[in-house]
Amino acid sequence: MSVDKENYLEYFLLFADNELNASDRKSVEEFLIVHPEFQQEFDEIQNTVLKPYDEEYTPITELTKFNGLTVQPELLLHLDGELSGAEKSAIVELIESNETVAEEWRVLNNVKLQPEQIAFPDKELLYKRTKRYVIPFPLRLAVAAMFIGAGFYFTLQLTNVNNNGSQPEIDNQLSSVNSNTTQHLASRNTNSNSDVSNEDVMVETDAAVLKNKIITDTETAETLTNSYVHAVDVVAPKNNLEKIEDQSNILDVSPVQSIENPPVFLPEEIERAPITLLASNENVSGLRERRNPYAFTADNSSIREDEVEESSEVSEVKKSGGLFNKVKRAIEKRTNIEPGGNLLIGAFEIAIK
Amino acid sequence: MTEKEYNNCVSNFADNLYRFLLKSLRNSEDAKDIVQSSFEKLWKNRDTVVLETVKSYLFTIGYNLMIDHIRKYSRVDYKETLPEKSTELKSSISTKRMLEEALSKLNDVQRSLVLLKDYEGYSYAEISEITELNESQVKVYLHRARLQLRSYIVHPENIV
Repeated sequence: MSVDKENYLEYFLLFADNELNASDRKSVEEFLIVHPEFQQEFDEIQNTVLKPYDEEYTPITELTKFNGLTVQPELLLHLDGELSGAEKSAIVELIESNETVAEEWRVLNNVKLQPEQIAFPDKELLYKRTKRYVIPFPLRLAVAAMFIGAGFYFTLQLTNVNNNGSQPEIDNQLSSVNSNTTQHLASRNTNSNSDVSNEDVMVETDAAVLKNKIITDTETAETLTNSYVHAVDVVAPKNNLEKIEDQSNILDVSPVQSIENPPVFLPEEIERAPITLLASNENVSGLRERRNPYAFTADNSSIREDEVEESSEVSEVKKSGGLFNKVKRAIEKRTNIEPGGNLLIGAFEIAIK
Repeated sequence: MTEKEYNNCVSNFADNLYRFLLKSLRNSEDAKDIVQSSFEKLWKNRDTVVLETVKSYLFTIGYNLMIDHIRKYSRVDYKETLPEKSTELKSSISTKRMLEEALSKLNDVQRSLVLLKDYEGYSYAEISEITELNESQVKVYLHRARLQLRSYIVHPENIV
């Protein structure tokens, strides 16, 4: 059976499906040579065959019987820019040398889309911008002023609390002094002596003077109270003067001497005074025990008027220093700033030192 | 990825992605929505996205969203722009117009492959990453699409 114009289509399809033997395939090729008008139809049927492109690549140089369709996959690869250098140069050479391939290449080139400019209209919606809220300068100033004012207010509050908190201690000390004085006087009455009256007056006036000083200057109240205890102690146990460790305690009785007609006791007189009145008195020993905790303060502080004034000035300086220390501590505590760090309030930066 | 790098991506790739989606979907509003969704995803995952591959990442997101959108709404109507007798118009319309018509005849995958190849210049390997096809599939589908386009241009009357 040979290929003719009646059955050529069946042979073309079998050829495309690779179902013909060698002789029939040769018959088809001979038919196409005799009847070239069927070549295009044959090519179109061949074109419907899906080619597995992952099969081993056949070099273009070996494609001796090619036409436009047989090299179409290579042309497509070339169109997609997927050929390597050698393959690319081979197909370019083929396009230039073969008219059919060149025509196929021209058609395929028309298939390639040409990029066109299309802009996305809502591009602004896509941009991300982190919004930073900038506080207006006047508002920053106001905030800074508010912080500073709050700092001063809390500092003053803390200062007032500290002052109020120390007052009960002073009152307790005063009441203790009064009670000791009363007990001391009572014991003195039971052991009446001609010298007792002078000592009582001295003790009472000492207490009055000390009260006045405590009221006028709370910072020196504790020192004055200690001095008062010393004064009583020094006056009372004349037989136990050997227990007095330092004669400077006896000299620090100037407030006592400031009262009207105060008896002045010089150290030599105190040492010679045969006072045995309070030697056996338990209250006196109690007073002596109380003296010890304050003895150091009494030794190193003065209750003379000029020195008391100087002490008040020093106290004022300490108060100012304490104020700033409290402000610093309050800021550090509330802002968690490391010591030595900087506090940024509005546009101001304050170094915490 | 920093905010500045992200904004650079918007400047560089938003137009490309929009063009790809607009040509694929032929609906500007849907394309805009998908572009915005793609960049939103990019912004959310900016810490994990590598800057060098951000374009492929964007197109992958856009392609997947587009496929989901097509499956969900099936809005694509391939025949609405086709003339009834394209042979009569063949001489009057330009090759570009014919090519666009032929492009609309392709299925979604083939059209996407052609667009990614011709508009964005991606290689088969890059397209395979974007579309999650293997490289051989990309090559076969793309070549089929080319031949279909070619057939439409040469014999538009034979294309159904």
